[in-house]
Amino acid sequence: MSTARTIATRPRVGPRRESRPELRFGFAPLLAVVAALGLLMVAVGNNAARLDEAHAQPLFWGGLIVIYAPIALRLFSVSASREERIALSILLGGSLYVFKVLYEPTSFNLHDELGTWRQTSDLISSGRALSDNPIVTGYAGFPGLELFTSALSKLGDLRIFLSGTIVIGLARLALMLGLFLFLERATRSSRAAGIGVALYACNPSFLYFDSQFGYESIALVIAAALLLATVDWSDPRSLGRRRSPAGLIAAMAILSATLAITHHMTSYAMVGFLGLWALMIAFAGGRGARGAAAAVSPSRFAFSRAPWLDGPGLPALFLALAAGGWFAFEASHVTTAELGSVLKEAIESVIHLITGESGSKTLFQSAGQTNTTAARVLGIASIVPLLALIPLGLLRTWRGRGAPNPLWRALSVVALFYPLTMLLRFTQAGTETSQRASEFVFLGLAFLGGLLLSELPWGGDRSRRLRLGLGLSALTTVIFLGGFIVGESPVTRQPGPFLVGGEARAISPQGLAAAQFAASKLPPGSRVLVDRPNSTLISSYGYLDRVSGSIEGISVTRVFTSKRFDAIDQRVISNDEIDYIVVDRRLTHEPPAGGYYFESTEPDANTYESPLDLAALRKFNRLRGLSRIFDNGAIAIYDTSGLRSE
Amino acid sequence: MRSPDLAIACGVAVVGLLVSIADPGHWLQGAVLAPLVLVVPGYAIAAALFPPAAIRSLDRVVYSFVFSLSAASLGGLALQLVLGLDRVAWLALLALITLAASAVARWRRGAPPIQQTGIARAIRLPRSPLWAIAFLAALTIAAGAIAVAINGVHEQQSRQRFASLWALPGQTDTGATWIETGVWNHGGPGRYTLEISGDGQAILSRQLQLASNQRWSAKLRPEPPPGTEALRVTLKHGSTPYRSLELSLGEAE
Repeated sequence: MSTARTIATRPRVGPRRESRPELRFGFAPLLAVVAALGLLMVAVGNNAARLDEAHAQPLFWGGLIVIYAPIALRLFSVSASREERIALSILLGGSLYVFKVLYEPTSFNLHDELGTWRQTSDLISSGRALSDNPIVTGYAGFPGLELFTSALSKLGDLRIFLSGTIVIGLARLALMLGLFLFLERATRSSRAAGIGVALYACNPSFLYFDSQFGYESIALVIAAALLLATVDWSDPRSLGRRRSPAGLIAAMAILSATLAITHHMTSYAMVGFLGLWALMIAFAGGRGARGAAAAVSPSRFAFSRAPWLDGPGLPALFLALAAGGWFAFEASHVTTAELGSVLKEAIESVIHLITGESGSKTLFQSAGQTNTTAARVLGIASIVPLLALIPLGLLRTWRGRGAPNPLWRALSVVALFYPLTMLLRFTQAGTETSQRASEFVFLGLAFLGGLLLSELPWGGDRSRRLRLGLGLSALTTVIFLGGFIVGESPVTRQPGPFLVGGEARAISPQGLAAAQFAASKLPPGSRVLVDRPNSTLISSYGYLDRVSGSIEGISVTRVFTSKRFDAIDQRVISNDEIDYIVVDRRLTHEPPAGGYYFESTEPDANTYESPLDLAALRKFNRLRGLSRIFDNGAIAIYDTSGLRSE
Repeated sequence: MRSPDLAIACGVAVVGLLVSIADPGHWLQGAVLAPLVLVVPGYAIAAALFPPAAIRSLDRVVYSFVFSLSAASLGGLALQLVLGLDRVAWLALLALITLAASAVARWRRGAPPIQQTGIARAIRLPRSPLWAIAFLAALTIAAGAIAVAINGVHEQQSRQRFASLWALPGQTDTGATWIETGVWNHGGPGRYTLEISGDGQAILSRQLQLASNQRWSAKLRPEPPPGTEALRVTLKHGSTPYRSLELSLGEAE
């Protein structure tokens, strides 16, 4: 392990410049240029995809390989220095963040990003946090990212888009560094840490979901910092524990509080992981942290009466208190509304699958979007090595040589969740849960991969080592590309022409014009019925509040799908106090690429074989009392004030 | 003991206050005040919690960012209970946290020796400038990639040529009808005709010549015949009807 070099008792005299070690970046500067060229390929490929040109895919995938493979190869190398590995880890994270920015470099266009934009914008204009969010319910109770971004926007006089891009970009760089340092301390090897970071980047959420302007992206870096502090706290021989135990305790408390107000799922996952780690120490009979504690002089922060607090138990307690308190006093409603439905649907769909009440979802296929055979092969090829890694890792961490290491065991248990998350992908509802779990599960996989692959026998001549390195970097590149395929629908991997229900690809200039009209001419907070992609624009830039769900047991989406406007539609509009209806006529052109037009619970979600009936949208034109107040060809906005009963 | 790092942190906070008062404008303000949000409070908090050599320098980098996030989010959350989070409030909060944490750090550095017994061995940059040149080249190429992507987005958007027509009815105090209407041209230059009719009768017509991306709007008094239930606003491109709106003037049955 490369430890920090300290001089225990030497007086503080400045050593001569020549005697100081020189930073050894090795191949990192060269690989930075290579990665930048890869980004250029991706940018050109994305532009070609926007115009539906044939060379879009080769450039895009080629660019991804050019970014990832050389860095992975060098991280496998035995000759790279610690500094080079750190530089490469940061370079990999940074490059892949720019990769995400290249998708849409002028504004936010993902659903959750626009939800965060609205929350931040409301915070900036009102000066108050915790306002309701019409796009993502959970944002109303977890304002950490919005507070940070609004501070930057206000003080730096920057657009929210620019502030958010800077904040998430810096968070990504800090995450890669924090993850490297954590894995380095866990494995006691900078090489294992570098390999672990390369593997972590293979998680299906890494490229887009965890790079977006959303609370989970920022929560991950807080979690990484908390892990770093916990490792130091749990090791009585660490610099921090010996020299500033009170500082470490305060740091863990601050980080726990920050995480608790920033993201529910990451907080709960971290409580679980730290608790698991503490349990492993207890099962190991205290031979972990406490065993080491006995070897050094006791400090006033040694918890002799509650030894479990000497290790990860203390931050677990802090985080459980912070997250529990925040849930109880502020965020219970939004957390239950958001997580409850996702988990409930996932569990129900798995039960239905087991009991045979419903069939399984076809892998690599969703809502009529099918991957090519090559993509399917790559997807499966990415899963198999990771599944193989788990039993080997369990053997190494539970039956391997040396004293039991509770942290290793806890991380290996985390990796065990990977097969379970893969099983969830056999159901439609479970896919989202699986996707969201990947950034946590991959911490365990990254650790096991780093540990096992760095322990492979790397002896022999240079050409043998090179062959081994090439083979392993090719394998991790397959895992990386396959992870992206597993996690992202074929139609949303690259930008492209307008696509009905295609998330970011359904964001269009016409939708933006409608949102700008709403923002400038309609009362903010008016209640609006609108399809999902346009709802993100109308509810963010347009400042209207999207209405979803059902009222009196009737789904509000019925207003769009009924062929004739009837009394039930009238009831929905009147009783749910709908002010405006936004109609996108393009919905009648094709079935939704994302599986649904309005919301995931609509009756025909994920089963559409033909587009929405034209008559269902035309009915609004002939309706007495309904005013069409905006029209740009694709999108019309109707005012219901003349229609609503008194 | 001298603490140049803390002096710089406090300096950024003070300069931030001055810059904010002077309000010099966009980029300079951003350049000076962005570090006060993103790094400086976190660095000061990390310095207060961890004296030199209590943690490694790279740990400090991670903590500097994350504690800055903590300062803004936890501090902002507490402050908004009593004050609106405007520019002054943010500036005061972050400057105060920086100054207070720096004071604690300075005090802890002056305290006894255990923190001073170990110092991180300084590392120097490579002598050859090639690494810097390569990183600079990489940054330039990456910036070029972003520029290419921005250009691609603009080109895709420019291919979408359309015009938006909108209209909102209202009534004056005397009960007369007026319409606020507008046309936003998202395409090339074009000649349009705006017509307002009621019960099939033309009431008002207006010729429009709009440049590319030009917006036009006006408040019109169409004076519909008595008993008119709905007004139709039509936008013609040349002589062809291009967009139309229906404005209900009465209550639903």
